[in-house]
Amino acid sequence: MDPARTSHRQPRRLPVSIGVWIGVALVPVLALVVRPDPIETTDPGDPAEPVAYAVPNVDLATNTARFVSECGHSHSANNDPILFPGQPGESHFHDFFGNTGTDADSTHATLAEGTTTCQGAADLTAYWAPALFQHGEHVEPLGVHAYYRVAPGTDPESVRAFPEGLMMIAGDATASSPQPTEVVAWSCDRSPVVSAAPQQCPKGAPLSLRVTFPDCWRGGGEANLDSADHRSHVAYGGGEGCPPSHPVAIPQLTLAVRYPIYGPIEGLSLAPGSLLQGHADFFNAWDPAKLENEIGSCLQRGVVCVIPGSTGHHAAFAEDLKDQL
Amino acid sequence: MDLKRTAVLALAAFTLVLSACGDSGGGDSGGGDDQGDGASEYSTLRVPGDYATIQEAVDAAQEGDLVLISPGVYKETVDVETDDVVIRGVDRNETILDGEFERDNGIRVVGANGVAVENLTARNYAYNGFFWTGVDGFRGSYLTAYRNGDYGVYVIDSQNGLIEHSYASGSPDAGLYIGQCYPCHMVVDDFTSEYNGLGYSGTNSGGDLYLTNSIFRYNRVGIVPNSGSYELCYPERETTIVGNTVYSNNNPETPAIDVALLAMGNGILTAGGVGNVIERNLVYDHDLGGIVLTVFPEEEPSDVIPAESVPCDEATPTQPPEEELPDLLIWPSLDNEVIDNDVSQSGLADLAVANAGEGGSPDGGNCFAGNVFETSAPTDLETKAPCGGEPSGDFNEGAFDVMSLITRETPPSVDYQTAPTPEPPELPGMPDASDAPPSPATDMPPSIDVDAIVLPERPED
Repeated sequence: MDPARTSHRQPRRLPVSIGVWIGVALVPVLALVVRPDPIETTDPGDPAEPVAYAVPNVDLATNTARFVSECGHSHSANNDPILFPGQPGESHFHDFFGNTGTDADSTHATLAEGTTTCQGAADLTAYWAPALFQHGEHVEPLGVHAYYRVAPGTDPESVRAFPEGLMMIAGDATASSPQPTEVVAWSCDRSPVVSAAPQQCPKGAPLSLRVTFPDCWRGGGEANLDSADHRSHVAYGGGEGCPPSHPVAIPQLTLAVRYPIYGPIEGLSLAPGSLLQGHADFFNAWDPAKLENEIGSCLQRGVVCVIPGSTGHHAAFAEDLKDQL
Repeated sequence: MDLKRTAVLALAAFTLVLSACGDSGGGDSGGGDDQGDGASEYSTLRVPGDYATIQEAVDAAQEGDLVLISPGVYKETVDVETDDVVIRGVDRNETILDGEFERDNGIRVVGANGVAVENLTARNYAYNGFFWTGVDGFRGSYLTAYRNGDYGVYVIDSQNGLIEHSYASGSPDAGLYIGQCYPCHMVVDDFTSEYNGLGYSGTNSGGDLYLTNSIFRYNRVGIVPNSGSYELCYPERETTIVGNTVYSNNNPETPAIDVALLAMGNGILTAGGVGNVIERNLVYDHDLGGIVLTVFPEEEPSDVIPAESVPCDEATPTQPPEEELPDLLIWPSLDNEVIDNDVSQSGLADLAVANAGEGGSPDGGNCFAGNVFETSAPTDLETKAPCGGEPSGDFNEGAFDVMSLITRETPPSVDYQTAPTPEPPELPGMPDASDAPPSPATDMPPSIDVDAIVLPERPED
């Protein structure tokens, strides 16, 4: 205690005045307005060579500004409304999170009228990932933590909301060699230690498949919510901001799919067939006003809006500590 | 009034004129009545009189304005991004924000400095009732938060603030949370936290942080300052906990996060806390410990324990090579002072220090003096770890069984939406709420005379 103590005001850590914020934010908006779209909307682009990935941004604890959706497992099915729209049963087996009605016929309109497993009702997005099997048995996931952050190298003020109905796939379901961990990685819960193969995790930190999505969009409105190859309408900024071909910065989504798998990694496989084939899908159905709000309030102002909690594996945690202490 | 403040008010008045002339949206001519008496210019923006929603009023408010909310149930979520706004309910118990288990936060102050929120209730939010993040200067007074999905009152990455005369119940995490600040420069006074997973949680916070004259009861666990690399600015340090009443924190029927299950049945428990002062608290009726200084075990940590104690804005994660990150990081409780408390009716020990062999010495630099107690772990703790003297004696004799915390089975969490959290009692409201001029949180925290705080009397219930 210090009887002489008075209040000590410190300089603000993030001195962003509203006026400056509005002024800076207008610049990219104006740039978009006057820039003619240089890309033919029918051009499939060059999707096969995403030379730039997300720069390493794996430490979920230390990249401060964020908002996070915590969503439970909703259902699992052989459906994929991006790759096999209108063709139920054609896909490999997926686990679905967030929107509870996601199926092969889902559109933005159907998703937007649905319900969600996410903690906040405003996130009606459909998230899905290939199902994980252990010795042939489907492993029911604990759920997902969807981290929305500013990609490294991106001006926070330039980040725009995902357009309604934007579809993205991250990771390669046909990979035959390890994928870059900047895109697809395995970790133990929030640990910064990531690897291309699943790790042996302690019981307080469940095995997680962590998939990071592109953070730049081509723009151009509804025509570019998807693309023929489902990839080329979005791109990774690679730590240097968005390229001219994909000038619209969007939040960098890292989806962590959490599984109740601890200890030795035995008999694991992903639905496409190989553990190398980690990937995930995103079909935006956020309430648009709420999404705008979260980007403006949390990402552009540089503050942490959610830290996901730790609930549901206490018993395993206790058991593990008993062994270690 | 300094020049800057005057300029701000002038600008605010100018903007109001513009708004009154040109704003036709919202159906109201700029909103509110102008209290233009010169010395304390501000506008009162009434909800729902001038604005249909709280958010609309908050968005229209200029620095220094008062948003005054009539009794009613408001089904909205409010973000505040303007400095020095005061948001006040006319009736603490009847001005209610309701999240209906769908909306995320009641009132969230995002990087706006000097915002005061007072005389309101927030219930049934999926995340938090009242939430400040990334701010310099804040005040919460006469707040009631109950049945919220994460925390009642949540303050992170902020500094210079006061939380007073407030109440939180029915959250799985903490009724009150203050995290990620050092030095925090904050005071919590006259807070009641009950039926939560944790009464108080302070992760990586401290430094000029005072938790005083408050009640923590009927939670799973009472007051829990802790360290962990899963949030920034570790470790927890230098929190002064004085004059609180902490009892019967063994409640199996609350919602509870994992840490609350792990630490259940303890009154004041530092989990990897450093340099805290725990003084003149009344602590009783706990299944395990009254005041316990122990470890926080963190699996798959993001960092190692920093070598030096530095302010948050100078702290950068060490980010060692992966191979140097331990699988399990044990944060010990070090250099805490436990003085002049009255601790009784503890199942295992009234006073305990248990660092599981970590911390460099058996006592970990912790000391105990002047406490009224019957049992301690190890035995004769005040003799073995005296304040102002050298530690001595056998710290293994009657040592606190950390394993007993970890290996026992505790009743599982109860869903926060359906847990038997009692409706809050009628709580005293802010005096003169309808007419008092707004007082933005521009000079926080108030000074506090810690020496004048006495050991509380035992309540009758």
